[in-house]
Amino acid sequence: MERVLTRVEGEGKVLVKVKEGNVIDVEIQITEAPRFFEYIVRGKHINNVVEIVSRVCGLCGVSYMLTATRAFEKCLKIDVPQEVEELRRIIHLAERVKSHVIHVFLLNLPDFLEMPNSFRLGAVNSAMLRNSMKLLTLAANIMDILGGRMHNVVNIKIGGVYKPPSESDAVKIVKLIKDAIELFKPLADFVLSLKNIPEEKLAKPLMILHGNGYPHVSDEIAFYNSENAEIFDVQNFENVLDVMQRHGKTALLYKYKGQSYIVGPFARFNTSYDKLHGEARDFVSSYGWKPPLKDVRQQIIARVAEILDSLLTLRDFFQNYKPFEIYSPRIEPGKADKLRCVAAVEAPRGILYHRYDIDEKLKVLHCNIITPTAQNILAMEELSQEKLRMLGRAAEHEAAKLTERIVRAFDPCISCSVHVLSSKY
Amino acid sequence: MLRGFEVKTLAIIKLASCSGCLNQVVRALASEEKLLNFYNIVLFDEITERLEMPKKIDLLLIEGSTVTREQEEVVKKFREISDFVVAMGTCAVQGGVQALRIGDDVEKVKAYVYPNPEHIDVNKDVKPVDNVISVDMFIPGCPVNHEAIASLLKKFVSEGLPIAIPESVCSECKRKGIVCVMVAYGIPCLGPITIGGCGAICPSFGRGCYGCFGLKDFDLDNSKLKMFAQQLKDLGMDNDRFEQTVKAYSWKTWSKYQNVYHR
Repeated sequence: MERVLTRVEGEGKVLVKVKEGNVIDVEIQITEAPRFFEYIVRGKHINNVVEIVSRVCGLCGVSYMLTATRAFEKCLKIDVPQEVEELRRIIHLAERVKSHVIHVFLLNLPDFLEMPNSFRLGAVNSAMLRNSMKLLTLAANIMDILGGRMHNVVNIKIGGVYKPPSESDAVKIVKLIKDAIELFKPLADFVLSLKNIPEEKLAKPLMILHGNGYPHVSDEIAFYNSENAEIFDVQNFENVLDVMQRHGKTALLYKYKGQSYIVGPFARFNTSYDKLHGEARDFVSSYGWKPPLKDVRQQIIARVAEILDSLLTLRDFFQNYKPFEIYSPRIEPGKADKLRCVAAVEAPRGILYHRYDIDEKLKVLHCNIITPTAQNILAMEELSQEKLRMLGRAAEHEAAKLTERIVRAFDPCISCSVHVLSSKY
Repeated sequence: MLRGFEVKTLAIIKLASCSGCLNQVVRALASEEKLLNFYNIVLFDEITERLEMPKKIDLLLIEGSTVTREQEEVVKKFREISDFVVAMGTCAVQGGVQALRIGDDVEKVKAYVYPNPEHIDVNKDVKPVDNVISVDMFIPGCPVNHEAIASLLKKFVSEGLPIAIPESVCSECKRKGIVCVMVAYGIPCLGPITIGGCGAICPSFGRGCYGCFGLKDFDLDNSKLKMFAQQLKDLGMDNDRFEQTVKAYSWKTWSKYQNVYHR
């Protein structure tokens, strides 16, 4: 049986094969048309590339820009002052808020309310709908001040930002954040108090960017299978992953040491809960939610925690914010005729990895991007199969719907995953 | 339900694109609480499960350009049942960044990205929506301005439409009192040749416009473009980068000026 995936970004389908009442296979099909990003950035100047890759994804463009700028800065040895780098990370956290708010309240919540969409909330709990829409507007307004607009922000460049917020901008942002936190807490209360969030054992090993704080930006990757972490450098990412292309299909699948794994809020929350903002941790744990989350369908809890964590981090940043001078380093071509530029960032959905080979004219020769969704697809399929096999014949009618819910819990970003496939080079 | 106004059916579909404009629609709906009362959203895969499709759609918003035969069939089918069709965003209006591959051998493009290119079914061309069906209104932008979408949704329900004012980004800088980054600081800026509507975001951040709302389709021709490219070159943006930047967000209008666009 086949079901069109809805309330996800992009176009996909779930395909469930049933034989004599038993589920024998689950496949997530990407029906999104490819846009060939790895091809079109070739020959383009790196400044243009930063803007172009932002167009891969309408939900997490800042993640793309931040990953690309960091990759180019590292290989061209461009120093970014600490306050500039911090501001960029803050813009990126604002995107995490926006992306998660859309997923929690518009895409995921209807699953727990048995509604086709969140707009139906208007009839039964109009305040809930009104306030979640207001929260989205506030999140977008914060993006407007920091980046110029909600999507394809214009304030990130190789070497830093174009314009740091002014003192009066900071005052406005603090006000917006306080309003957002106030609106968010009762909404979060509703989500954290839901009684029907599944709690079975339904998970896989985890992978995060490993650093001092809550996973965000780092050059190290940690893989967790049970308690033990294996840590490796982001430069080795492509070497340690096994990549498979399913026969006749567009999507590539990733494994680490022969296993599927999970990236994103579920992995971050379960490995790094202690590093969440104290107030966010207290808030979530007061509802009894603590790591480890056992079931991937509990990811909504991790997203709620991350929204609050990010808002609080933004608040703290702007309460102590002092505007700084615009910093514009010269971008000098590298000495070698080919430079390898690699970086990774924790996008809203997990580890986003970019690799560019550039020439002495600062033009891209080759590009490879590994997206969070592409890494999660295999886990989504295997977990759906596991769940459906557990249910046996009882699953037959609900199989596609159950799979869709497991898939949706990951907040897949299909526009990203379709064309962003490992290139052969 | 609401005195004086009929509830309209609204459908939103996505072709080759990033969903950025879809999210601007979501933002527009979020910004005006009452808008949701005026529309019956019958298709919007990102936000709702598929409900029963009506025989007629009052307002259809299309994000994205077409890159497969299947997508062309889909938009043709939707055109037949839709009263008013809007090409929403740079991909739908101009082709979008994916149009940067136009002119290159599609087999080579496929083979560059995919290990098994024979399974990839895409067209030679990337087509803006009006290359496939007739379009009633164009709203440019990468992404579209959410206020433009909110304005359309508000006016459409009362049987009206927004009026597009043909002007460049420069007009927006003047109105907002933004110092010209090109004249004052010598920063290359595509504002003079780019259609307005964004609110001059880039100049307000002290940088040059990079043309993401698309080339003006009035008051310009190839010789003016060449002269302007020379100005930019003097300020440090070489012709190659200029062309790359313009093509990425204005493929349709650019190729019309170059006389290579055939509908």
